[in-house]
Amino acid sequence: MRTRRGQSLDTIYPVIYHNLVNDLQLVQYALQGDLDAFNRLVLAYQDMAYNLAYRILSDADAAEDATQTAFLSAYRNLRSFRGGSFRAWLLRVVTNACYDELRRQQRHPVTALEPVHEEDDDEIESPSWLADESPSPEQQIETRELERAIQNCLDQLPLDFRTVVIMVDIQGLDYQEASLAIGKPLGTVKSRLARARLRLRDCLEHLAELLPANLRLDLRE
Amino acid sequence: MRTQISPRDWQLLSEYVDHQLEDGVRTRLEQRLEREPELQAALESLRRVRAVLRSAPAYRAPRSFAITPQMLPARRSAFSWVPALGVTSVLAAMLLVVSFLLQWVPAASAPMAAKEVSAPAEMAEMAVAVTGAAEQAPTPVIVYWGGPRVVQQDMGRGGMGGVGGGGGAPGMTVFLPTPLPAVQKLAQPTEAYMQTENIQPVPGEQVETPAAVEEENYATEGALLAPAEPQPEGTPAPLPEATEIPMAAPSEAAPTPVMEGVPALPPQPGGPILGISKAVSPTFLPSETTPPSQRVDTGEPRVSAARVALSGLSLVQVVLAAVAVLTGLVALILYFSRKS
Repeated sequence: MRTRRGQSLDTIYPVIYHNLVNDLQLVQYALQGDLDAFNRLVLAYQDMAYNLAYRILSDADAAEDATQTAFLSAYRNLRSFRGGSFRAWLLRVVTNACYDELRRQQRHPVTALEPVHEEDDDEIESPSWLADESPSPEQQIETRELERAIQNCLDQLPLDFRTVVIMVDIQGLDYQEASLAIGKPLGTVKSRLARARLRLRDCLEHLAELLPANLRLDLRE
Repeated sequence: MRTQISPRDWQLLSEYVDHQLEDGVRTRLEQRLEREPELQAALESLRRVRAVLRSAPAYRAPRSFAITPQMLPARRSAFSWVPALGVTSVLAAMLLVVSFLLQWVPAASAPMAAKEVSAPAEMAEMAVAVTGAAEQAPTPVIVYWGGPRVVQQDMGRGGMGGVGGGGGAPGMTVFLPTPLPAVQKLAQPTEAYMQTENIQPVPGEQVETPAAVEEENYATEGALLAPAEPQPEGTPAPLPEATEIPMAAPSEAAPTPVMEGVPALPPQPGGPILGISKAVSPTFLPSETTPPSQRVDTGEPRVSAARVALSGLSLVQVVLAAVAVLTGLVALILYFSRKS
C-alpha cells in the first residue's frame, strides 16, 4: 500500500507494514480478547497517532497522554469499529482524544514551570526524536526552523481546519479517509482543506525567512 | 504580488493538486489555467504550501503505547451484578406490596360510597323508625318523596325542594315528565299497601286534597325531605288534616299501586310513611327482592372510577411482579453459578 506521494507506508511508519486485511484480522483477534493482536495494531499506528496528536495539541506531553488515552479508548470501544479503514477509525479516536485534551486545557489552563531548554535556553518545541537519522547541524537547524514555521501556522488555524490539513497534507490520508476520520462529509473535507491551505499560504509568507531556501521564494509571486 | 482568486477557484485548485477533480471539471480548469496567469500563480503557490506541509518532519512516538493488562480496568464479572439485582428485586417486591395496599384503600372506601349512595334506603328505614316512634299518632301518612310536581314546586318556591333537605340523594332531583295528582299519590299507595298487607284502614283517615298536600309539603318539608334527622320529641311533624277530593273516588274502588318499587314496610298505624316513586329514581331504588346487603352496590359512578384506578394499579403490579421475579431469578442464578 502506497500513499498518494508514492511512498510506501512501511517507509513512512517503518514499524510494521500493514494492509487492510491484516488490520481487520488483528481487530478480530483483539475482539476475542487477544491483547497482543491489538498491541500489534498499536505498534503499527502509534507514530502516526502521536504525530497527529502532537500537531493538533502542539505539546509533547499532552500529545503523549492523548495518544495513550486514544489507544485505551480504541481498545475499549473496538466493537464500535464497523469495518473499513482501521487507520481512519483510529485517527478519529485520536482526534477526539485531542479535542478532549484541548477542552480540558481550556478549563484548567496550566503554565510550565520550566519551559526553557537546559542547553540553549530555547523552548522545547522540537523533540529529539525527529525523523532524521543522521542530520548535519545545518540540516538540523533547517528542519527545526521549518518545523517551527509549520507548527506556528498550524496553531493559528481553527481546530477543524487544522485537523483536516494535518490528516491530508502531513499524514497523507486521502479525502475519503479524512472524511471518515473526522466524521464529516467529503465536501466538508474539501472545503476545510482548501481554506486551511489558503490561510497557511498567507501565514507562511510572513514566516518565509524561517523556511528553507528552496521553498522560501516559491511562495511569493 | 499576490494573486486574488475567488474561494471557489481556490477550492478547485486545491482539489486539482490532489487529483480529486472529475475529468470535465479538470479539463475546464486546465483551459482556464492556460488563459489566466493569476490562476496559474495561485496554483503554484498552493503547490508550494502543500510541499512545505509534506516536508514537515514526522514525529516518532516517544515510547511504546502498547496496552498492558494493568492499564485496563478490571472487568466487572457477572457476579458483581448480584447485589444490584437483589436490591432491585426486593424494591420491586416492596413496591408491589405497596401497590396492593393502595388497591385496598379504594376497596375500603367503597362501602362508604355505597353507603352514601344508599342513603335513600337508609332514609326509608329511618323514616320507618320515625313512624315507629310516632305510633301514637292517630293517622299514618304516606308521603311521596321526590314526587314530580311537588318537588318541582318546592324547588321553585322554597329553594330547598325535595333535594336539599333530603340528605342529597340523587334520585330526588329528578322531575317526572308526567306528574301524578297529589291525591293519587297519597291515596292509592295507601290503599294498595293496605290491600296488599291486609290492613284495615284506620278510622277517620281521610285523603288529602292536592292543595293540602302541597301545603303540607311546604310546611313539613324538613320532616319530609330529611327523614334522617331525628325528630326532637320523637314524634312526627304535625300533619294537617287531609280532605278527600272527588277525583280520588275512582281510585278508591280500584286502586292502582304506583309504588311497586318501594320496599314492603310493616304496617305503620300512626307515623308517616316515606316513599320514593320508582319512576323518579328507578336506578337507586332497590327492588323488593333485593336484600339490603346488596343494595350498597348501586353507586355506579364511584365504582367505575375505582375500577379504572384498579386497572392501572393492576398493570403496575404486573410490571413490578415481573421485575421482582426476573431480577430475583437472575440474581439467584448468578449467585449459585458463582458458587458452583
